[in-house]
Amino acid sequence: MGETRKEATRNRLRTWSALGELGRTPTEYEIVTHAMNHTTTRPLPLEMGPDTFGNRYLRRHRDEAAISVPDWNRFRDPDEMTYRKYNRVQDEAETFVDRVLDEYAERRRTDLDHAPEWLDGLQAMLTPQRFAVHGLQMSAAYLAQIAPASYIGNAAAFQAGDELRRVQRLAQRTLQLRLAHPERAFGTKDRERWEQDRDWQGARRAIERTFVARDWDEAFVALNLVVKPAFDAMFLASLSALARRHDDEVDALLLENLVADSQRSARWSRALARFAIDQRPDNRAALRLHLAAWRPLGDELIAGGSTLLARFGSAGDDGAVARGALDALAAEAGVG
Amino acid sequence: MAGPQPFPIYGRFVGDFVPHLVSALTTDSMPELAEKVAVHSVGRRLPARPGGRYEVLLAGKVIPDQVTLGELVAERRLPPLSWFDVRWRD
Amino acid sequence: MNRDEWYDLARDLDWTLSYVDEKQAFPDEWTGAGDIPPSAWKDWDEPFRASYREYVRVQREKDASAYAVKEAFKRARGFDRLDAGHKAAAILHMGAVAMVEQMAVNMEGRFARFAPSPRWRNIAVYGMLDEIRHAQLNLSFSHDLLKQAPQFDWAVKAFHTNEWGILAVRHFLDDTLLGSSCVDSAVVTNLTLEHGFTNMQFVAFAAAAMEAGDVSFSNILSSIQTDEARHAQQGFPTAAILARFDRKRAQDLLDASFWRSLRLFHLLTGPAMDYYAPVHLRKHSFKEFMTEWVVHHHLRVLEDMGLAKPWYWDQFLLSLEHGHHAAQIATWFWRPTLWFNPCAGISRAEREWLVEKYPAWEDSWGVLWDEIIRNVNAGNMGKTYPETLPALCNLCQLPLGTALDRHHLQPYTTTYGPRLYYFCSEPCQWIFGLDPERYAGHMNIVDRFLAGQIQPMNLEGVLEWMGITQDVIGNDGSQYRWAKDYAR
Repeated sequence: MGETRKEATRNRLRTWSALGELGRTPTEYEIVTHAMNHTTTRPLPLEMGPDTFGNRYLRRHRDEAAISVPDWNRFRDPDEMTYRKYNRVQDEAETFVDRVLDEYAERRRTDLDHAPEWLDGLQAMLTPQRFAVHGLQMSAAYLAQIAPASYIGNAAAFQAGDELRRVQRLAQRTLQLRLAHPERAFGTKDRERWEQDRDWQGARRAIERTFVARDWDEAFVALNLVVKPAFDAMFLASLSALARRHDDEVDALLLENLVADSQRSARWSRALARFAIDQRPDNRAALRLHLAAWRPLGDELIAGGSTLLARFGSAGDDGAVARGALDALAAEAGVG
Repeated sequence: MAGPQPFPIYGRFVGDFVPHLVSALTTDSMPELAEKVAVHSVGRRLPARPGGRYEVLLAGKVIPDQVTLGELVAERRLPPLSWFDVRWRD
Repeated sequence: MNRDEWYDLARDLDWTLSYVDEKQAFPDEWTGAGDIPPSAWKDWDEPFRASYREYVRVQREKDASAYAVKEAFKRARGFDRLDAGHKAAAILHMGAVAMVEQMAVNMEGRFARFAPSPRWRNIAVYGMLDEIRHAQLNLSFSHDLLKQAPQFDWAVKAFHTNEWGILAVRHFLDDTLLGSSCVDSAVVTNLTLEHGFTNMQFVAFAAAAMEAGDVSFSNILSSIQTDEARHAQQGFPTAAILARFDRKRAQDLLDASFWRSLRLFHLLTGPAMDYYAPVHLRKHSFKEFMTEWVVHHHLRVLEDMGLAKPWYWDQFLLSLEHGHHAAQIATWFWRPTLWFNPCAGISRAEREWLVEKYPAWEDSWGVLWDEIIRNVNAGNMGKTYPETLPALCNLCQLPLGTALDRHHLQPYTTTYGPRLYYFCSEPCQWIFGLDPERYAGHMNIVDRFLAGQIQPMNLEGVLEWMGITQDVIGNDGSQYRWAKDYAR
């Protein structure tokens, strides 16, 4: 006590002490993402009594999860997404979509050209998605708060942002279609469809079930390896192709653009699963158990969606394509 | 009687802004206890008084010098971290 | 397309759950709706609307600007030349706040998942993104300065340690940001702490930083503050609904959060404003700032909600005279437990300023500093350091006596179950009493010390337990130069 700091012998810090000996310069991504969850490195997550709800919840649903690794802070999102990069990437994507909506819907008013059968299709498949995607948004936000590392939580937060983007673009399309065809009252029956249309129930059930997947590893597998990729395969990729067959370039281009967001989610999700397995091979069994529990829900979602698309002229193989996409994702994630 | 046992108290020297954690012993007399409390305040944030003596108060009452902390603890069933005041004896 | 025309289509997205139980999907511990009827949430409406498209464009531009300023400042090596007081404030801020921004991402995520209104859930997504921005801006700034001041390492490290000030921050914020329901968090964090306290403080701090010549830091603070209004607004509609259906809960929450925020501010903002900031640049005292901005805002909120002033208002006013002076002398005296170098702030010129702003200062605080000054000038440096832990409040975790001054120091205790709990003030004691089960299981640093969790049981052991290393250990920010003013 009472010593002065030894200036001369002080080691100059090149980077955060938390990064340890990297042996290289840290990336901007690491500098702003590393070790930014202080609740995972101690036996009691929160500075509260041990039996308070928050501490019990985190211990049970996060720290005692079936999958574990020595240090989740070793995980890296292959896109190295930071806030700065996210806005740059999405601003450019949004600029493209602005142009599509302005050019086709506003200027050329292509919505007026659609055949009634396709307008039926848009009412059945496009605008009711707002509800489903709001559900995906909610579950992405859950993943963000229950993740055991900031590298994972941030990726999930950006995913929630992507879903908000999608909902708003769908809302704008709903408005545009409503203005072009006032007699159809686009958007007014969407909740009813979502709640009651037989072909939507697979999706609704799968999405609602994600609301009660509390353990972080199950929440991750359920949403990012099954429900979201299944939904996106049907209602972004396949629906985009179907729109194009109906000469609906607006929706084809919009949905295609949104596929990029979906692929980003798939990239970090694959990487996270592989990371977990690399770090501890036993994790593979735990992940496969979750997958086995959730895949049937994904298949039901796909079945319903595929019936829906087939009502409006799809070739009928969307289901097989989507199931194939799920299989491929699982295989690439090392849990196939 | 058993040997000296540690007994932690909160000791506040009257006039200072904060009480301190003081590791006292059950065998401490009040002057010994007073010294252990005062050392954290007198000469640090309050001026010393050459020749000055202290007295110890518990719940506002002065405790006689010869009483030991252990006797007080037993008699009044004091919990650890009981609050003691120390001040200059006028 | 006018945003208002499609806005409701993007946010009125509730549906009746069929495949899971509503209570399972929205457990009350996370939602916090309590007895408020579900229909009440239909009225929840955010004051400021935003589209995702605007968001990413505007935020991209803001960041381009903020990072450019940061780069320019870094190249100019401007930080080296800054005043010791400003350095202390900046290092304190980064250590105490960077992680809190990231914790707020988590809280906003809670809203985005569990809030009882889909409109609220949507706004919270922007909140998540905003707070990632704030955390990352702070980290980027701090990382740039590591070579010049290794203490900036605490921007990441602080919350992984047991440093006492950080534990005090965590006791409040781990609770309200990470362990509370949406409704509670919105009132405590968004409405009171964010909108009422930190929003104001960031503006004041940005101005002070600019005055001190830290263009980069000032710019970051201002830029962060432009996001605040958007997500802090979640507090207003939530509190309004709460006040309509459960006045007592609203009143208690606002009263508790105001006091807890105040105690945090005594520690984190008061000393920075009244002791670290260069005296000739101080635009207002901490008391003036609090009165003009924070009090004014809070009273307006209470009025809008039809609620009363906190029952402890007189104590609050007295606390404005003293709380941060207590924090200053406590943190300065226990400076080895800090990761930054606090400025004593009591040169003759600074003392004159203090006495002018706080008429009670000489008798309440000057007397204590005089003994410290005597010891410094006599070379008795050992006497200017502590040899034990101070007594600590079991609620706010700060030393007993630091809500007011030495003349008002008295024990506030509660026995709950087998334990004796101490409090720095009546309001802290009252908060404990509102929900004892929430607080009773927690051990403050003194409790942990006595339980043998800190070894060895001496100050060296304490410093190690707190994660204080030789390259950050706190010492006087001006090498005691101020003591010369008093030397014979």
